[in-house]
Amino acid sequence: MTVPGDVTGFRLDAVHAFRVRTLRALGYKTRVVLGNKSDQRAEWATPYRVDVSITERHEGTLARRVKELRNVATVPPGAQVPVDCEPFYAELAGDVEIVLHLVPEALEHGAVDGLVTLPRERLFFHVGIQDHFVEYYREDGFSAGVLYQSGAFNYALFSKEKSTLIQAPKCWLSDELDTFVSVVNSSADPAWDVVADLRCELTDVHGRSIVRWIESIPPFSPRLVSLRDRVRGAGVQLGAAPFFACLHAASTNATLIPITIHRNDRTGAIGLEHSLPPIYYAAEARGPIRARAIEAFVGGFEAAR
Amino acid sequence: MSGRGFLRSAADRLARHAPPSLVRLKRELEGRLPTRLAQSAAVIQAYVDDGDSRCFIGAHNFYSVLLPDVETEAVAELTFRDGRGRVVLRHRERVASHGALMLDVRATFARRGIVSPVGIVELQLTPRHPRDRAYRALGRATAHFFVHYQNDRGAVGETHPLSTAERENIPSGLFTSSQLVSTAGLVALDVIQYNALRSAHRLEHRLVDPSTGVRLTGRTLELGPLGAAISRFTIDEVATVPRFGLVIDDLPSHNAKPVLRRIYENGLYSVSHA
Repeated sequence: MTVPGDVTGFRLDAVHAFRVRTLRALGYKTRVVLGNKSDQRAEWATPYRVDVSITERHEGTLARRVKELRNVATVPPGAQVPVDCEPFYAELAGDVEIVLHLVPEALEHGAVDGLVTLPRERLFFHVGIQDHFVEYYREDGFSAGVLYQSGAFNYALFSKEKSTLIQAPKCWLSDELDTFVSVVNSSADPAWDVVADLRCELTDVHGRSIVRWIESIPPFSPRLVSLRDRVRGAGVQLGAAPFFACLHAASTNATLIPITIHRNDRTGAIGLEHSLPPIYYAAEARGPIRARAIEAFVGGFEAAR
Repeated sequence: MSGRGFLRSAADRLARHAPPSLVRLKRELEGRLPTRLAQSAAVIQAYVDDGDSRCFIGAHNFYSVLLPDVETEAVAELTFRDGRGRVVLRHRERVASHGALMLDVRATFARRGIVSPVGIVELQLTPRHPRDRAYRALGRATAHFFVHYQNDRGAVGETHPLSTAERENIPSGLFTSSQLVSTAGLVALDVIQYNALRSAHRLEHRLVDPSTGVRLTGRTLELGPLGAAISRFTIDEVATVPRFGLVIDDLPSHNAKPVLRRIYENGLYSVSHA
């Protein structure tokens, strides 16, 4: 596909990045496997230099980068490189969002003050060329992970779209099983300061609402929500057999990174999966179709409150 | 040639040879007629019901979410096949508007006396009134669903689908997984592979040292049409490296990537797409 025009003044550190959350809250450490498929277009093949940034925002304060590490690894074209993320945030409290910037070295010489101008087609190629693998692990060796990609979200030079629609028929709850929804409100722009409002609803197989609530998610602060707590709070009695629910959620002011995480309380074992965006279900579920779906969900949510 | 095939062939000839004005007129007429819903072929995933792992299916009525101004009741058609690709169960169920579908594979198989340790499950989800013009706004619909894994020792996992059962599927050649598998604490790795082709397919699952690309071990699978199988590797085969990668010489079709089940010393496992 040819995408005409140049993009001017784009952040070099946002051309390709992998945004992951840490998972101390569930007793896990974090590592990633970073790939480089830029050799799929020989003329644009380039090593990626990996820089790291961690941005935090506390209540009532502006977001700020609390940590920047340069050149923690290099990923040559066609290679895969494992990176343990633990040293990056050892001294920080709680869970954080870690951004691994995969900086295309071939673009670096043209950068001015960290900004580049490049053809839109080349930018789109680098932004979406591949998934990376985030893996949460324990000292006994147990690990579980998921492959996904994270674009230059909430960054006007990449996309004007700032909204989210989550459809997750994968909430399994019992006495010993919980499903968490992890949400990260990230941005390619470190100055991003929007608190995302995520309207959430769990429904049963008949489409009946079990519980509705709003998550307010500050930028760069990973959120972890126990769906079992929500269901129990609505009066549902859980037993040994898994209770199934479908999560629907929408935000009208931010593009979010949602991951569902199942956890067995007895063993601490987890299993992760990302959701599928609307266009996976229907090829035209973008633009006005997607916007109407979000509007209807939010309208129904507000009417029911 | 089937009746539908003949009509499609005739339509193709018309599109090639008829005057543009006639083709435009045909499109306009089609736009006013109730036509079939644009649907992908059934969506495919592997399931496991081997006495240790059990699976649950989760799906939802996405039509009513994405087209909220139309009340859509849908019909779900699930087809379970065994490892050789033979149909062992067809299951139909109504899915309410804004509703969902949950199916316990182990319990469903047990009720019907079905024994099938591994196979594929196909899902098609169709509105009750599929010719309603309202659905055209959605474009091609694809019935994605999730498979939830558990075992009694406390393992848990989830996968989303990657393939559809299109008749046009063709082998897609060499595949290198984006994962590297750490050998710490690992006792075995299962590569759960399905074949999204309507023909038999042979492939090799190859574990490699990522630092050198050297092959450590491999398994060759002969998969029947729409069949599935598991390659089991033990830690002894890969113990010389801290981590290894997976290469497949000829993926059965685009995106027909296997599920990796890492099995640990304590009986736990995790699952993820390769």
